[in-house]
Amino acid sequence: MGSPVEDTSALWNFFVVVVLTVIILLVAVGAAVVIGHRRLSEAHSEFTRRLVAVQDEERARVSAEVHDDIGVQAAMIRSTLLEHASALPDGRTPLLGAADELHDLVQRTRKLAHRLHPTRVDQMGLRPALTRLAEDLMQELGLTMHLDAPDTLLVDNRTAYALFRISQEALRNAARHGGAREGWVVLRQGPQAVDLEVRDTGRGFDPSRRSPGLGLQLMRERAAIVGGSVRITSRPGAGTIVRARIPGPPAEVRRA
Amino acid sequence: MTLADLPRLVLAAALSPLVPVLVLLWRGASDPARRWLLAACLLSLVIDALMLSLMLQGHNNHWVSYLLTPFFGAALLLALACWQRTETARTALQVAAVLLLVAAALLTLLLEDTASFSRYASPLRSLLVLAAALWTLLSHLRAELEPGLWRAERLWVPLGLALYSSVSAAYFPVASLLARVDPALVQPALRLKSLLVVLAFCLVGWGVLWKTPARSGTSSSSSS
Repeated sequence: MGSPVEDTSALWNFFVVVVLTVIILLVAVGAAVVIGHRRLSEAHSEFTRRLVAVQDEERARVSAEVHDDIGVQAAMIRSTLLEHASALPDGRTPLLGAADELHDLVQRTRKLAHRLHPTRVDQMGLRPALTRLAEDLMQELGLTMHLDAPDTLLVDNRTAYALFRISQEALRNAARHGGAREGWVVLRQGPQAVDLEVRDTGRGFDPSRRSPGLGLQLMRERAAIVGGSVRITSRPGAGTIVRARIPGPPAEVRRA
Repeated sequence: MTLADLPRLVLAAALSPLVPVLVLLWRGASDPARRWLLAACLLSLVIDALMLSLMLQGHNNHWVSYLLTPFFGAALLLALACWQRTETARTALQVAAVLLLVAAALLTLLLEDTASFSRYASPLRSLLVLAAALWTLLSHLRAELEPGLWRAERLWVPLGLALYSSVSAAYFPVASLLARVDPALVQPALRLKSLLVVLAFCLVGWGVLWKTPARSGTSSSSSS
């Protein structure tokens, strides 16, 4: 072995090593904080995604029960009432009144079921579902929705459902929290992705001064579930623009 | 030079990692911390054996240290990482282990004279392990001063590693200083260093004798 005494600048070297050690420790701690933050964000994202999935499943179940049990039974009672009304001339007027109320109940039940889980997206396609959404928004919240979308979109059901839910959430938020009276939904099919833009004339907000609420997070996660992303632009007094980009169309849809 | 010419304490220091190795083989390296510790101690024995063998044959043996001691240090850091109480501290030591390997490689290639003692890479390894061991020790002492800690590997192993690393880090600057003041003091300093290294590995061996009950936030093994 050699001798350490040959090195006369050992103390200086030691100082350099101490500095290096401190640098490495600082970098390691910094990296650990960044990694920890990223893991936390991923866990949070995963939790929200699961929340969205569980919420959708539960909504679908409740929607089916509301539609199939309450709605169908109310419709059956109404038809029975109408039968008896025709057989009993004296009791006709009150029975017909009750039948009309039941008709309203059936309609409201169907709407509720649809709001809980928009099966129309699967059954009729995205554009008709959005047209129906425009009617609902006008009736419920007094918001006029303008739709600019191609007649057919090459998207699978999951993507269509995500785009519908993002539009719905964005416009409901705009009407409820931003006081918007008008909104625009623009859908564009590109070669690489489907782009959705939802604009409104609401009060808007300053994104840097307000943490995103659950609604905005859910929009992001709904897009993330189908591999997409959401960008929100807003200014106080200038409304809000929600832009979603979902990659695709998927290979199976393209082949079809 | 023959093996008989070596001071017995220096030889004992080279063989001292055998203490924790034997205890770990006896009590079982059942969790990641113990496995990394076993790997580090085995690597230390291999390094010392190779260096002694090359020295006795009259060859330069420094390259062994340059090549293998960063891995020894990284294994110790990874063992200490397993005993951390928080995820951030655990990740920080895992990152530090990787950075140590990178830094040691760069220092060896750019600054070190591989025909002589390491001026940067080895002290860097020692200081990093020292910092990690002290942090582990203090974080456990601060958080849990219950009687059971005195029979816990997470107390004695970091204590042993802190002693070993501080001795390793301090020896070369101190020896250089002594050489300038009075060269005759270098040999006693080497003996003292060897004695402390033996004591350090005995502490590590004593630590792994205890099987610590598993706690949340630590990777300790089950109770004995």
